[in-house]
Amino acid sequence: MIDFIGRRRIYAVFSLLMLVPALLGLAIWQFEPGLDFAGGLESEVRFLRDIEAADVEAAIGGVSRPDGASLDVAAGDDGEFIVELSLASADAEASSETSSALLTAITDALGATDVDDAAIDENGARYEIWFAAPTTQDEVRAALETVNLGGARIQSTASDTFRIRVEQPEDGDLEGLRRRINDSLRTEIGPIVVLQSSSVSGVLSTEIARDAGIALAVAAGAILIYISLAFRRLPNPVLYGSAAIVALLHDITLVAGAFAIGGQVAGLEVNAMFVTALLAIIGYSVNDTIVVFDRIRENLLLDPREDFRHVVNAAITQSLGRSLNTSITVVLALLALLLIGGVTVRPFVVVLLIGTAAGTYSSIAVASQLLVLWQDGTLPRFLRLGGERRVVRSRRA
Amino acid sequence: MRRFRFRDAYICTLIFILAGFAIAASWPGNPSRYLPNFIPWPAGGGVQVGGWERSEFRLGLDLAGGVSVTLEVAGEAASVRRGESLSGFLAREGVARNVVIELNPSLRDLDPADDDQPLPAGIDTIVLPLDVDEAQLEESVEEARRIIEERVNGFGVSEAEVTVVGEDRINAQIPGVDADEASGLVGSTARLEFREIDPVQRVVPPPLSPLDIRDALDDLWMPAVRDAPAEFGLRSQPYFIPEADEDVIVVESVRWIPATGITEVGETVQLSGRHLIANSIARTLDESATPALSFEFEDEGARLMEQITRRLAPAQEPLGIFVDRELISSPRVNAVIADSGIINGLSDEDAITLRRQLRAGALPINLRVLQNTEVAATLGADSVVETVQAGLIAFLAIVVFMIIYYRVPGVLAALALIVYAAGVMATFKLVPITLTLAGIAGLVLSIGFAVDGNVLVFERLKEELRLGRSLNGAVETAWARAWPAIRDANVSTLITVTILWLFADALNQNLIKSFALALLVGTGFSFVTVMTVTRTFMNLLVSSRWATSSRMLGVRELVVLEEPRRRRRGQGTADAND
Repeated sequence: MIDFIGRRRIYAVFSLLMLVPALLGLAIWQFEPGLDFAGGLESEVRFLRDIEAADVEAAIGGVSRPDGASLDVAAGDDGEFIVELSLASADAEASSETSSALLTAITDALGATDVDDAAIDENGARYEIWFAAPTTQDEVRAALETVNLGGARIQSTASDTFRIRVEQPEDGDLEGLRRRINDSLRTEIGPIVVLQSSSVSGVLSTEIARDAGIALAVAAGAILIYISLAFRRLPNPVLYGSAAIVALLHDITLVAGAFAIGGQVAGLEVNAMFVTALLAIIGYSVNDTIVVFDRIRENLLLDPREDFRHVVNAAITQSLGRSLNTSITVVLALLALLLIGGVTVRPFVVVLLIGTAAGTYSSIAVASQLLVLWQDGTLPRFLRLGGERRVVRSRRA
Repeated sequence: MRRFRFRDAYICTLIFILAGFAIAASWPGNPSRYLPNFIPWPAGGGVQVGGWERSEFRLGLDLAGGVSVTLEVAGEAASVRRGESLSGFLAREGVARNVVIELNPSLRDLDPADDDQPLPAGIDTIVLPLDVDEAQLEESVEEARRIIEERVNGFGVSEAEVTVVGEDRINAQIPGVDADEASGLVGSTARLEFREIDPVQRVVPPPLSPLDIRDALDDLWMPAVRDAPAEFGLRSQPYFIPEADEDVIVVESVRWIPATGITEVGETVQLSGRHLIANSIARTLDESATPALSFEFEDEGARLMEQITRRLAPAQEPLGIFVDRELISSPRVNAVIADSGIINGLSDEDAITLRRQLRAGALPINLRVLQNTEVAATLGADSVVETVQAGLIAFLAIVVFMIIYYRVPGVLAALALIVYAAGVMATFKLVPITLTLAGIAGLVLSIGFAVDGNVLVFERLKEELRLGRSLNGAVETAWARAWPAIRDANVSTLITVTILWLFADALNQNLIKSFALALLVGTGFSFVTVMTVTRTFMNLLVSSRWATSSRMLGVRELVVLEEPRRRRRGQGTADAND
């Protein structure tokens, strides 16, 4: 059996080493508020060349194709063109030859293209084609300056795609702001397609922050009550709930601190998804703590006279395999989301990753330790640090 | 070896049938989008029972593309009289200064000591707080919701949702449109009103710059009509600049004031959209064959129209037709008209939109946009592929990990996970529950949670085996002892997830709501699959010939798997509870 309780000072020091920078980060920089909290407008636009379906049709008109094959060009809703080839009879070779000839013809006649979604089989092919117009950040800024929005934050996400962020306007007219941005880009640069845009009024953002706080408090309260009920057969059931809540606060502080620091270093922003992730961590952190506590309860009910430290040590050791394995599976799921999933969910996944690690650690290093300290009544001494050794000695004596 | 029980075999068969159905139901129609395409995957057809059909998942706006708009009731705008001071306005309307300033950010810069000075010319209306009681507000909000819904449906959008949120908000979820189309459908009040002119002049002093002119124009309440010199870059806005010499520009414009008449009971009333007979509004072509809307007035409207046209006709003055404070057309009045009218100068598209809006009626209250989110359909489709692939890889990684670490029980857990995943997916598709990016992320995360129940039991099983129990006894004890932990872990997750959902619901944060719901469904399902599926599989395994080697169960120590001698009570602490 591993002596987890005996190493509590190491855990305390380690937690402090993590908590101090987290709290400092929170105190000095606070959060970098994302759109949901700062209010304003953020939109991602893609610049397109001024090409019409007729141009595409003309470009591929001369491509030879098997008898009876039909060719269809249609303009999609988002500025893309859908080129569809369907053969009269299934012929894999003719299909792949013709479809690649089509693509070559389009590229030769109309220049660079961007094929977003291609499906080719023996019956024909379907392409989704974009004609991207590479644009510079300066051009975008110049366009926005014509409508007095030169101060916008402009970030290039691809050679033809930009993310534009504008603060909440004084008069609160988000619709007008959106129209001004799109109109100026269209008149000054050329056709655009809005990939996504989001505007949030300041009124809403303060509400989200307030309600998130309430949700957090209510969730913590509900868990305290549930744990106290689940452990009612033990002496001091409220201690278990309280220890779990402290561990939870520990985890949330770490994640929030990491985000405050990340906001300064990597531009991580706090939005509604961040709040979601924080609330999900509550679930995870408590879940992990409860499994350890369950084991303590079981061991304690088996032999109530056993030394409490020993009981806790045994419980942690026994549930260690489970804790690690569950964390590993959750981390595997999160890593997959982080590496392959879209950009939008990335900050969210980072929060959950930190939270999962913190949740696993805090069950052992915070919740269980606090339980022992409270139960023994040695917490005040421990907090004064250094006093603890005497306690240990007196117990062994 | 445990005695084989038919009950386990029945349950197992039932599980396989249900899982098979769930997989068939949730199998995508185009699997090669998500799976490696060198294997010719069969295409799924969805489910169809009579008229009830589910062939696709219901996707949220972030995945399907579309617009979500949240509107809030805003106050009523009151006109400022010419030359009126703020204090004069406040006294006339009987409202407090701070209340008005709260609602009108443009007034914030006014010096309180200056309240008796005339308001700057740019301020022509001031928003007043809503003066309605709760029942009235509720009624108006519901009326506005109905009108917006009618407009959206008239636009031909399927599966749009317009809901009242809280007391004074409306949320509209409209798939397949862009933000411009959506704001026309949702944001505009569609208040039709008639105004007549009141000429004004502004002189722009030198030095001249386009900005000066723009400012001068903005000073006018509703600067109107005709073309400006191209060099001022004002072409897109119809301003009228008659003289442009080197020293000074005189900007002449018109001020449109409400066109009113006197009703039968002697009230002075502005002619507006509510005087139209809704069913009479029709698209037509005017004499120059451009699109127009024709309409008829009801009795009071006809009375007002007659008075107004009688006043305007002698000088052939124009009658301004405004929709949401924007001048749509300004025909000159040639004769006294009473019962009908026409709005021309519209594009074909505008005519369609305006007709729909006027027929659905003007919104009874002013609404302002609180939140507007737009996602293009193509971007959403990319996100679906990315996230689904991430989910599949996560699933595979977890399955491999479980099998390597827990051996035979790991295989059982993998099977249980497949049942779990199929069940969750089928639930989402068949109910249907709207799937969003956050929801998929929640589901991927819930795979991790779903393993937890299995891990708890397997770890306990190993422990019990190491204590020297028979396999049969160890399995029974492992389940019995892991139960409180499984229960508490799941209940605590359910508590937080439910609170998360309530929080999101109150705020109308659809992404968070969807995440919470996915986690809620996922947690619920994992609870059930662990207690039924894994349990049944385990029972069958224990009664089979395969479970003879402790290595297969992931326990390295030598463990006796034969039925041991009968244990005596009090043999060890671990047995004390048997």
